[in-house]
Amino acid sequence: MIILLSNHLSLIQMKFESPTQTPVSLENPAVRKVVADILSQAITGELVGMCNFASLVETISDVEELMEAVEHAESERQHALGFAQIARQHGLQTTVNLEGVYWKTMRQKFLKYARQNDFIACLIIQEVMLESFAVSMYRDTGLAIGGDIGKLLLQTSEEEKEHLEHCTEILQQELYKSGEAFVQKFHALHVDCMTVLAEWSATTDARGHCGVCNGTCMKDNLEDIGLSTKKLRANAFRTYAEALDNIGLPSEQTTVWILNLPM
Amino acid sequence: MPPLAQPYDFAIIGHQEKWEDVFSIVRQLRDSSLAPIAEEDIKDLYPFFPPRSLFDISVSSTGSSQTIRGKYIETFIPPDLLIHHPRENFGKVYQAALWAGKHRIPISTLGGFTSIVLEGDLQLLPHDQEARFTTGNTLTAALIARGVEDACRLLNRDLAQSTLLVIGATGDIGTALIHYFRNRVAALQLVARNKKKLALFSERLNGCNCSFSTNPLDFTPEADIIISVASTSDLELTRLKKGVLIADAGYPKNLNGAGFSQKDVHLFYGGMGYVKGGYCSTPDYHPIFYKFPSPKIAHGCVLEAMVLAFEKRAEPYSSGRGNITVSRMQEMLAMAEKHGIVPAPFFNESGLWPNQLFNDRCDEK
Repeated sequence: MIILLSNHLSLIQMKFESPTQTPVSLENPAVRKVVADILSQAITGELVGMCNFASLVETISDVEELMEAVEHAESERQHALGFAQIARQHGLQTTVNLEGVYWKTMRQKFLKYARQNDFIACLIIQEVMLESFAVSMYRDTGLAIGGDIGKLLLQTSEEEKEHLEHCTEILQQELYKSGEAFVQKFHALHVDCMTVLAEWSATTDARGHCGVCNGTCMKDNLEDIGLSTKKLRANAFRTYAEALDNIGLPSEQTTVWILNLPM
Repeated sequence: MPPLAQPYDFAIIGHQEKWEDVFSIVRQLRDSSLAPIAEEDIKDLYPFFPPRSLFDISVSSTGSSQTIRGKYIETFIPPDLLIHHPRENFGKVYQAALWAGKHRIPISTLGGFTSIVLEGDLQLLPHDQEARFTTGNTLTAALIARGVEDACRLLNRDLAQSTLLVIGATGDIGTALIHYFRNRVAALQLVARNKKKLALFSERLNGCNCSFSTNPLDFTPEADIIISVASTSDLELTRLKKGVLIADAGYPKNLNGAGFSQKDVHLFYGGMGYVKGGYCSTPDYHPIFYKFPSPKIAHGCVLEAMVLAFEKRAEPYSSGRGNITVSRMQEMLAMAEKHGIVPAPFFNESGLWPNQLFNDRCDEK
């Protein structure tokens, strides 16, 4: 019975984790545009992450945590380099724009808390909110694109998952120590920052062009690689919800938080 | 996932039966000052939520001074995928069970369709943890049986002279009910989808006046009483005997929109119980989750976890298929009654039966 169950579960796992058998055709201009835009968003996001981890250094007193933050910043830099390199290999034109409206807003939000030396807030923004979206969206796009680009996205998703897991223990301790005050703090950060990510991933852009995609919004063309904005976004929310569960935040409240995001 | 700060006595793993119920929940949870989420968007988002607790439940026993606390764990199974997507639904139920286990909840019941997904096989759930699970089918079956007996008394019917048709006869609850009624009615008519299973089951009922078919319409003209416990929502019963008594206890409701005249049939929702001491939820989602004629009414499968928690019997009381015995049904009903959990008053989609005083079966005003 146990064997049967584990077989059953591995089948489910395989269904969700195996890259597409046939990679998307980069000969198709529409597909090239979407894949280039995905890589542009990925590079920009990784660079924002790199800057955030570098800023985080200022808020840390613990030496081990300090080294870890520097290591994470380097890891984000490597991810950005990897995405840029694979784009070049395929002749895909990418745009890196840290001034793009959503990424810039996220960076500003992060800096606001970094300037207050609020290490926990910074950790929540970078390692829970941004990494949840990264883990989920790299996985979904990696599975859809396939080939070496898909493989790189999936591999990066796995590495980002480690960042997500890294913060869980620290935040569990915070919850244990501060209880309701921590829940309220998390909620305030959720309203402040997840609103931006919810708008960024919505089907229509409330804040205009993101400043990263080439020309039209790639969300309108995700179907060209067999994805939908709604699915991509819903999966990201799921990963975020699971991260909140793992920290131990009350799901009775976090479900309400998520349902009150811009939809 | 760290354990909950406060200990809980039980959990209910559940799902929504209709999209309209999901829409109501989302509307309730979303701030009214925000733009409402379009129904199509809710349908896209809802299935992606990981199974999780949505509210706390507290229940008081009238037999002792005990108040127990529980969690409602929503599986987020899309209502339109309840029946034909066992593989996807299994994953959701498994994750919900993991949630209960990680929070060290001693006993959880598999409400509604979640036990059907596993076909009652609790071995499929995580068992490397302290949590125990029950399908809740024993109390459901006991409440259906008691409901039929009480309705017969209320309608002046002689059960011993009646022909009983059971739809969903080879399921866990159907089997239990056939064993219960085999010596209490004049004739049994069994209906299920699988003819081979039916034939095998009928053979085991030797000495009993029993016939079987895969088509309920073969039997409806003769049936005095019909118990429907199938996993379908599109059952259409025609050529019914005038005045037939029907207990619809299926998941989802088997006979919704069946279209027969209420004057010609006496239909009640079977397997429902009534908590004399009352139960409440925090936050108060009671009105959107439990739309019954009384806030004290709940499904039998849900109530089984509460009974086991009151009795401090964290055990897989109902498990597998075909294991419910008449004596276990009687024991479960007796335990329930000890804590003020009794059969619900008769009701259906139109509300309470008109010819019934509310306190007839609940001993309450």
